[in-house]
Amino acid sequence: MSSTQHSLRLVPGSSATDGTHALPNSHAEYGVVDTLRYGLASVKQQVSAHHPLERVLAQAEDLQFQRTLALQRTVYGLHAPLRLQKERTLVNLKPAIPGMPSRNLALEVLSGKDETLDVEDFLGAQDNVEDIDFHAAMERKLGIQL
Amino acid sequence: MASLKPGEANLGTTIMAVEFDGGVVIGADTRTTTGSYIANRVTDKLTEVHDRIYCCRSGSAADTQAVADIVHYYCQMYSVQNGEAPSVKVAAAMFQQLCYTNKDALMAGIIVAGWDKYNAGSVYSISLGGSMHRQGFAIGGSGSTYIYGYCDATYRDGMTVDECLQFTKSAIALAMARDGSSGGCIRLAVITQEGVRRIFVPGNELPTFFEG
Repeated sequence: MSSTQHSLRLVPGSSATDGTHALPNSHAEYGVVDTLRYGLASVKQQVSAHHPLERVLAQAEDLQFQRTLALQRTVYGLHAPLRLQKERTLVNLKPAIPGMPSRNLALEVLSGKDETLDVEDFLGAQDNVEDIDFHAAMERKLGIQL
Repeated sequence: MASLKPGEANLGTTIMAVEFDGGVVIGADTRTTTGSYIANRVTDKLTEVHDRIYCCRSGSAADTQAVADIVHYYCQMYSVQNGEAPSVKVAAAMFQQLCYTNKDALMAGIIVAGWDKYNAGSVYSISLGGSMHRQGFAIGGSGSTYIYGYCDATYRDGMTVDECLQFTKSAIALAMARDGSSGGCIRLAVITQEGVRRIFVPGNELPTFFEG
């Protein structure tokens, strides 16, 4: 999630993977394309052009955090960003029931989201709401896959 | 280096800073354009990043404002942590790090000038690619290309405050007369240990030269 790179980047640099996204169409357990749920794999879906701002917005929050870490490192020393990252790692607990919607209040407080209203707050989380194989995920979590 | 995005506000400009014994004089024109429309004819391009450190902004208005905000924040954190104001070199180095790391996304030419207790007046010029140069005087922006000769011929080491003010005002006025992206009025500031004195020269009081 958070890399160890403390960078002063303002926007993500242009990269070769511009415009292509990994699709969430893989089988939860076996990792191959899940044809039953998502249909046949289509290359066109992967290379279709996205809005140029989509990539920037997806990384905006992470870049902002990296910039904060870089600034704190130059002003206070290496220990300051390490403490911030340590706090984030500590509160990043795995949800008790994988797949069920869960909230992480501590993470929201650390990232400042408890004081803001964003799209997810009144529209609901847009991704991975449907089609989570609850049983397979629990089996994987408890280590009792068949 | 990035170029202006369509519709982006352009600080195509003339900015200038001159050192003197005890401080610096900075100056800029006041025109901001989006294409051929003058979005702001009384822009303030002299931005404070700390009590005695200012930066003159040229290039993309959005990019320079964003970078100046980050450096302003950084200088405040620095002064809290170290108990004293950052030196001009520290602020200029921060600008340089930001401009160089993001050189593919930014279009920002910045002149950092100010007074600090270790080096008195200093002027640092940060170019589009992110290189930093300490100079006795620095000019920047699209209008600066028209006044390199005048500045080279007129600048002397060891000028007084008033001579520096006259030099800056005349140079910027000459650039404004020839560059379409520079115009309006002239904003000047004198930064010394005592403080910052801002001077506004309205458009009808500019020094005039050969008008054709």
